[in-house]
Amino acid sequence: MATQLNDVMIIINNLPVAYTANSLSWKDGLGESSVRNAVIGGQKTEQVFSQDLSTKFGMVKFSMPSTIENEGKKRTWKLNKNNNVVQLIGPPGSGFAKVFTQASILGDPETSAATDGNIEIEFNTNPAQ
Amino acid sequence: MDPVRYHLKNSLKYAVKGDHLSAEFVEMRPPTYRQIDKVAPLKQALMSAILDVRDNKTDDDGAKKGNEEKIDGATYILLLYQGKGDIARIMSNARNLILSGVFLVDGETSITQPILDDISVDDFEGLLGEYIVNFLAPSLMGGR
Repeated sequence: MATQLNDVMIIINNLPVAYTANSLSWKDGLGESSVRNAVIGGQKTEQVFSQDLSTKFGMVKFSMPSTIENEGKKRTWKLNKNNNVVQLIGPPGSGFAKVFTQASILGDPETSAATDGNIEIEFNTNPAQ
Repeated sequence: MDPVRYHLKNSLKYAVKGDHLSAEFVEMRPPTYRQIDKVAPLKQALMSAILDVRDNKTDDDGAKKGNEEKIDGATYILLLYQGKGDIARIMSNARNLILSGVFLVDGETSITQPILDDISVDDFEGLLGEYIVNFLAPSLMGGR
């Protein structure tokens, strides 16, 4: 029986981070690929596959509740430039674990001061290990 | 008291400066008053264990020999296991001490719960044993 992967622990710079449920997503940094045809002749073609290495960036995105502590974390991660490490750990026994090194927040994260406001975090990283 | 290094026997990875590296050693620093609530129960447990084991010793020559030999970390851990104290509580106190900032991976990064979760039991007991040898036992025995 397959189980949905929705119970993931986020660890950033060796510290666990509590995040808003159902807000976590990531890209492994496998990059984008394209295919085109090369003509052999006689109505035949062959596929030419290429990978765009410039798109091989990982990404980790999540939101966390707007608290004073989380506001401090946001600033620390941003000011840390690309010296952050993000780890995603699955439930015990799942064997799911990904490490994203040289993680940086490229944008300027927004904090919402609403009653149920969140801070939106998006890291740009090396491809997942 | 100077910091002491403990070289890890098993692999341990941690995050530092944007990288995920394998740790080589843990630097242990002497406790300050900030760690008193973690150190005091450990010293008490150690003293109780020593007295429990000494009460069970019938061989006087063995006891004299024990007083002369330097006790290593592994022996202190054995003493704790042999004592009548609650070993689970002792190890929980040890965990709190390790998380209190006086244990630094590769001399730089404080051990956090996620790092501690990956430490092997051998290394955990090794760290505790060496901390007792270098900082707790001397303090208990009057600074010897």
